[in-house]
Amino acid sequence: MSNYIANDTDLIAVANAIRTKGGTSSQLEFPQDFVDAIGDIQTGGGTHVASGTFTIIADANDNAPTITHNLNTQKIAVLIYPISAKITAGDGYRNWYAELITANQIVNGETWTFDWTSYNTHFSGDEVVTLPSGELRVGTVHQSPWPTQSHWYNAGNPAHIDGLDSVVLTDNTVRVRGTSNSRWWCVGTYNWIVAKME
Amino acid sequence: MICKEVKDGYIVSVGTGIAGQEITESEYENILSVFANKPTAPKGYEYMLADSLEWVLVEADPEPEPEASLEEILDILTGGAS
Repeated sequence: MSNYIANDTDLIAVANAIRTKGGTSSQLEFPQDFVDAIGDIQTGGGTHVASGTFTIIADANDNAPTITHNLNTQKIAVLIYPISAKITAGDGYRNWYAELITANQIVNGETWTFDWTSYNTHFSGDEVVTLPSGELRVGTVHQSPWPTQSHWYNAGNPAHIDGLDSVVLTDNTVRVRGTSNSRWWCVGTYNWIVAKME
Repeated sequence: MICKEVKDGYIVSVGTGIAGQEITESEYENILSVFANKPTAPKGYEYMLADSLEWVLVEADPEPEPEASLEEILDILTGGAS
């Protein structure tokens, strides 16, 4: 075994780095306390979040923006909710909502269709709901009566279903699309959040 | 990063973290300011925002036909509605 000489300045620097990373202020005696403290440092885990804001200026079928979140494709949830989008009562094609079920693994490049019938919980406003099964939803209720299924209705056409239909995920982006025959994007401003669960 | 998305010469969206042409914060604020004063179009038309930040009146896409819910379809089939 070889012997090395380290000055106290260097040792203190290493100890400080270990304390910072480990979130401790304990005195560390070289070498065992250094080893123990490094072993106690938590790695990975947690939730990473990217967010932003976009404004839809032209209301049309395919004008949904592509969101770049750089959190790659595993175990992510996407939420989009309006902060000033104009949803007009009686206009049958201006409702929308966002729903994402994180229980399903999103595969890179694939289209993931929302499971409309999987939840019966209703909420109003820009409310974020976290459910025990890992589902995460945000939406806006527009009109009563409350739907009995996971569909949103409006005053002008109670039977009309509008909203998000699928999410296409490629690498670090998400593009949200509406149903094929509805102009689902309301002109206005929305917040978007992509959360990654480790 | 702030971007705008332009399609066929019209600005369709602006925002942070979205794909498109990168713009400055000043330009972003300017677009939002113009957007906030969008004029009201007559029925059958809509205003599109040109990249030059001028509103252009165009013919609107026709509204799609609504889809019937399962309840409505069942109602029709059982003779409860038309």
